[in-house]
Amino acid sequence: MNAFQILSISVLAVVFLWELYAVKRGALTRRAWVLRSTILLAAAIAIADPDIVQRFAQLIGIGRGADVVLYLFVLFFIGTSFYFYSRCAQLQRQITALVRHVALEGARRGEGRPAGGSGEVD
Amino acid sequence: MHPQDVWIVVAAYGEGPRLRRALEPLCARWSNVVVVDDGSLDDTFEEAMGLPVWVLRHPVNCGQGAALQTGIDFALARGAQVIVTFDADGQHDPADVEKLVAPVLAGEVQVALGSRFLGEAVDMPASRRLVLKLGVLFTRVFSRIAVTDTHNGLRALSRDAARKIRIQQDRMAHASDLLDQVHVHRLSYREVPVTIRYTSDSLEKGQGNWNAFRIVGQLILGRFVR
Repeated sequence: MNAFQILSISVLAVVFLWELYAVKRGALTRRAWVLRSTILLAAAIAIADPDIVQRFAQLIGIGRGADVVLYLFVLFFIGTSFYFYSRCAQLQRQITALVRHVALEGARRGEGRPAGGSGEVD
Repeated sequence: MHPQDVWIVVAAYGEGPRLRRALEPLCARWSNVVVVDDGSLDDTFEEAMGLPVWVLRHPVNCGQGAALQTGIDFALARGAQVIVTFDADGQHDPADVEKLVAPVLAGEVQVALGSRFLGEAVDMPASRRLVLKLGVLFTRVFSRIAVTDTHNGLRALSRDAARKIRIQQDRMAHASDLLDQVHVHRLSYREVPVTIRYTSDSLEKGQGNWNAFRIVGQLILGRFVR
């Protein structure tokens, strides 16, 4: 193994243990931990043995292992971008609805006209 | 229908120095004016409270589109039959309100859209003219609605149109969003010549030409989440 493999696998191992601790103290659900650990494990395996990714790429008809990683990353990026933009837009709509409610509840009449009704032009 | 059936919605942000001058002529003719202070940091709210208008206040700034929708909701709840949107920066001529309201009150159309290119644009910078003309092209492709002025804040909506339209774009893309909905809901519309008067004040405070790209981006991204 080269220095990059040793370092990155070590970091992944630390993250794995940290998340296990998070499950034990209730900060992370077991289901989320299983999903995240699967990704951490896949990353560790791909780093430890790059030939696995290459063999997988050839199995599915893509020339290079690096291309598989790139394509998966692009798809994942597009998916998460759509998700987070939609979530952000939804939050914005909720904020606007709340702000609107406060504004409507606090409607006041400026001076010069009696309050209530549609008012008459003098 | 009577003038009391007409409500004028004014969204205002940071218009303290200009609000009174912009709205006093309006208030002299129309009794139902509602100003929505969109979380201004200056004395816009206090200035509005000194006028014979209804005043609503957003506790935080949400954008002109959001403020207009708040005002429209208020006007609809008060029984408005025609709702006019009017800018707070003094660019609009209060005398144009009658021209916009007339065809809607008469039932000829559901939406009357002001057009500075059919009317007059006083002291409009050449760069602004170019950007607005490009906006017209974009709107014809994107919203599939043929108008001569896509970013005019002076417009009149019938009650039915105001109930169908729901402004989704909170910020400056709301003008294009509104036109989009006119098309989607198949509302009848007509353009009316109006006068837009540019001043150094309004140009400095208003949106720059580069905002056009942001508006296009917001509109396109908006299509991906709806």
